[in-house]
Amino acid sequence: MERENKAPDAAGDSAVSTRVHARPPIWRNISVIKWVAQLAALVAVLALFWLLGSEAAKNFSASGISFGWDWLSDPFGVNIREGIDVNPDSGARALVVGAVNTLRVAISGIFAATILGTVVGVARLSRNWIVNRLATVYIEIIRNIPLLVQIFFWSALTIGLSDLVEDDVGTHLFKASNKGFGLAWLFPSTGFWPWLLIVIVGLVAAKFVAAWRTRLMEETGKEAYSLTYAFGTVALFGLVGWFIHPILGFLSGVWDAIGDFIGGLPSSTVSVVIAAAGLLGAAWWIRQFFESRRTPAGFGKMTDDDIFRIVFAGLVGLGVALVGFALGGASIETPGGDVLTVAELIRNGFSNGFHWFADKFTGDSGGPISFSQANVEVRGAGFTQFGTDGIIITPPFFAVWVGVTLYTAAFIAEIVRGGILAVSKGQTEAAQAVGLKRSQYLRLIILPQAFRIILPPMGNQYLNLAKNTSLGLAVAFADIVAVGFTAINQTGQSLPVVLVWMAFFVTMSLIISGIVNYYNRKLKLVER
Amino acid sequence: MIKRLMLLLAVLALVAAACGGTSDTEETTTTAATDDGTTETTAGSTDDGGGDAGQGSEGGTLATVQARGKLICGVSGSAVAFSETQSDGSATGFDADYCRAVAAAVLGDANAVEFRALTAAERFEALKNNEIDVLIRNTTWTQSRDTDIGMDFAPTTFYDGQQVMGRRDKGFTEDSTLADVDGAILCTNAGTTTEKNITEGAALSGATITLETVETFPEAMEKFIAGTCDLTTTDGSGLVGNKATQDTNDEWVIFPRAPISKEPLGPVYRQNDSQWGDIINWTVYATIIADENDVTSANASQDDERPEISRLFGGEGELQTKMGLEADAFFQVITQVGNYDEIFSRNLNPVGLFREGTFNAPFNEGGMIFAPPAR
Amino acid sequence: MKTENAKDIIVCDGVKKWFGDFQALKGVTTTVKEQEVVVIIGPSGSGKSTLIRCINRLEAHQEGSIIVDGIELTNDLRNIEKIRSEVGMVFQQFNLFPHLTVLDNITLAPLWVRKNPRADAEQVGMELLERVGIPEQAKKYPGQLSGGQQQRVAIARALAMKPKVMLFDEPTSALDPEMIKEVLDVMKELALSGMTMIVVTHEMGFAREVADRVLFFDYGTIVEDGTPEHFFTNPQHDRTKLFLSQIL
Repeated sequence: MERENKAPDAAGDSAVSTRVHARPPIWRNISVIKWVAQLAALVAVLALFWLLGSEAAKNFSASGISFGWDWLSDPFGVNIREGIDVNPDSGARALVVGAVNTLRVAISGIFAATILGTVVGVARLSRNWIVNRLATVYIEIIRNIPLLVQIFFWSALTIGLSDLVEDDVGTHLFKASNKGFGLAWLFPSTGFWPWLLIVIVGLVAAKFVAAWRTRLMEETGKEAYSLTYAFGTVALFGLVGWFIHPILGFLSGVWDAIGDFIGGLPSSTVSVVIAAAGLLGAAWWIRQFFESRRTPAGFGKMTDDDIFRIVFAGLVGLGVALVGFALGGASIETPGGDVLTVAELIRNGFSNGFHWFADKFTGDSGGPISFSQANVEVRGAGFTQFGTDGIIITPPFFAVWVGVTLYTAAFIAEIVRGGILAVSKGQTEAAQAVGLKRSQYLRLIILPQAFRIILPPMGNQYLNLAKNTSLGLAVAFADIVAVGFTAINQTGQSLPVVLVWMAFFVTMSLIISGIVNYYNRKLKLVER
Repeated sequence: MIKRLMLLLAVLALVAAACGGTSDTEETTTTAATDDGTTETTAGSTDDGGGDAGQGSEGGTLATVQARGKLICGVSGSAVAFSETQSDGSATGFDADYCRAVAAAVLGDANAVEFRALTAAERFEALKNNEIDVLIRNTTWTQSRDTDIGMDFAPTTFYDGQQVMGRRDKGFTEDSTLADVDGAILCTNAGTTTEKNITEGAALSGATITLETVETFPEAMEKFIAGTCDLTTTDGSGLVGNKATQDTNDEWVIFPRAPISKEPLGPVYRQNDSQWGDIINWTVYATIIADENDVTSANASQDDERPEISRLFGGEGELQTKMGLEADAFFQVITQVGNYDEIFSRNLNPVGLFREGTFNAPFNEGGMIFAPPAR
Repeated sequence: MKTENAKDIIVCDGVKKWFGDFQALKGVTTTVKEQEVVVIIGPSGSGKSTLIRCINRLEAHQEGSIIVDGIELTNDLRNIEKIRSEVGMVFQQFNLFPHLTVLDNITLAPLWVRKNPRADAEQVGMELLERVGIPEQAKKYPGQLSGGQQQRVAIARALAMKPKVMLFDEPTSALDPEMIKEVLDVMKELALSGMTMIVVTHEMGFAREVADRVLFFDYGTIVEDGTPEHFFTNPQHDRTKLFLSQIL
């Protein structure tokens, strides 16, 4: 960069250009300008938020609105329609229930929309006229109606079903009614966790078996069916584990002991661990960054951006370390009324996790997985309702889930179709020319390449789906937005609740795009 | 990575700034409270440099409304007999008539009202953000709302209580109690006190319920009619209104006899605007005083010689002009809109709500409708 | 050079093909014997690529018949798959599978179509890479290779199926000049080893040196059919003479 800068008068003096290695004046030095610009942007953003925040605080106090977070630990006092806890004891707990409901719709919706969208997208390319037309009609109808209208439609549809009556009392594989849908389902039973542990051991063993078979194949040149052996190993562990899992009952004591040990650690351990993680993480990142800049000829020259990144990573690591120690001091009141530091809460969380695990290893000889049908029962003062067995899909959940799934699937179908079409015709011809069947080259050649094209826009659709779940508010689905509104109404703390919403959706979106980006990087075609 | 960190920092900064503001709150509120006590026409805290547009401006809401020539009144729009939106955008009903009463007092014209239909969840934000001048939307007066949310309540215009509506063919009668709702799915609308009341009430009587909170009460009714919800619950007045219009064969029943909550409903205005608050309060009192003295829209006269009526109608003294209103402001209210009994009977009798024997009877007939003297 | 009584491996009889209104092939009749190397020359748009694409059914002909190794190409899917596994094809644009390594490109069809064990397939694959001169590139991806190397991988991929016939559709047209030779050398070696080949190309040197027969195509028909000697020194038709005068 210095070479590019001639001294101001040198150019005019002689026809022969002389290279002058003088440092350029600060205001023309690209390196300095870049740094100043980055810092200025950072300061400007921080200043802007500080300004907005203080103005907001001033206005709140002027209009007599207090701003606080007490409602998180205060009793909530309102029942929630569905979720992991329909009668939450605190505002925070209620928001967690809402958040879990949102995640239930978002995660299951993402899986369902991906499968349906892929099928429809491939069907859209089908040479079968009827299949092709059906897929087109589906896409055109779903894409051109606002999602909210569709959600209302599915809601109205369920409400229009017949009511549960006394004749329905009993078990059902499937039951549709205006109280929702009951489905038979498989559930983890008392012996599930010990059995799962055995299966995990089986998975590890299978990896070794597969490696052994592959080595054997390479030595003898004969097919050694390594995949079949691996599956067999897992199946064997699963099968044997099904009957012998109670023998792992002794682990209950081990988990308890670990839980007790963690519970007995001084709370400062947590701070130390967090600080160490922050510093080591930063150190690892910087080291890995250096590695990525290493060329066979030695280190490439660092650009200013690179140095900025390294400094920033170091600062973040330091920041995390400081937060770790700050946690030791910050104390909050739990719904139970105890005052604990955050560090103690984290430590107790881990400790409780192990104790919870210990409970699952009681040596109970029950089966690992139970099949349970949906049941209809007469409850309380004579109301015919779904019981607690099987899976009960409430009308609001159904409306939101079907709505966002079908809607997103239509867009995913178009992305899949576009991705497949974007794989060049030559690939199909080359695959046909070597004799691969249609099903084979779709699976081995077209879809893997299409997938790379599809993935980034697919990530956007996942984000849309996750965010669109908030439309469930319109049909009384108890997601984090609906629960938050209830909290606002009960406490008047609109800004804190909105901040919680934003933090939740930003975190969820970042995680989704993080996963998508990870796979995207992993799948990128290797090119020169 | 850097982008994410920036975001994190930004959010942290916002939270930190917002939290830092909490301590200021108390100081400023104290100052404002002192202002409230004085009789001079001050709007909000004068030491507030960055107050919001509505109340920061000279003269507060009153000046804003007078300059605009129209009152913007937040109502429900779908509460039977209280405020029902008409095809021309206006609204009719008990609450809507109190909007007209305020317009008559402030602007001399009961029709200078723009009605703004709001859901229960929207209403307080709309008031706080100056989208509306006054909120008359069967809003329950509670301690938390009065103290927390930055608004104040006018005198109660209707004493209500939450009740539950069920079907006779499911075995409910007028004598059913909350214990009989055990195992039911109940629907109510979001953003009201009813959610909390029914949760607490059911828990107290040992009933386990599933509560479905929908966006608006008409949706709750729709789900109740379809059977998706076994029961529906809201203020008794709302249930009576819906039953009157939608249940022609008397298949539904409202219970328990003693409401499960106190629901005093009345107008709401922004906190720290005492002048505007006084105007709303005394508009309500004027209709009550007129009723106590049997002054109706038909017989109201500014030549009335009873001292209280004379003062109220601007015949003597300067009670109204001191408030920033015309001397005959309340005369306009009574002649254009009517007294409390007229407003009540006109709107609520047709759906089966009567004053006799309820808290809404005059104080001298065993009720709670009472106004301080005008002098 | 080649035995006269070798059996016919490809028999085209009155093959006609339309793309919409445009008739690409106007009744092509020719026979290719085992171990014969046939070079097809002609101006662009003359139907030469269409003919070899019809031979492994990447395009369907509409009239006439094509018989490959005793099997007639019809709408019978089994015949088509059988013929495709007997006929290797090399494309102008290489068409390697960019998401698979060089070795995986080569072993894919033996694994999935021939159902060979992986070890065998990989051994054959490495031998073929050896033969085309780039065994060291086995673990790389196509995107990391030069055009000439990619085309040699494409040849190896086609050979991995042990085909009876190799079709080349302008194999050097997309290459930089300095890479053409390395591909042609591989093709020459292949011809000398006795592979039956049909090559659409503009490389006259290759035609003169390697071909047993040269077909000259114009407007969807075979205009000239003879030995390279005959073709380059004593063409019979005016159109052939005109073409040769333009390119030589």
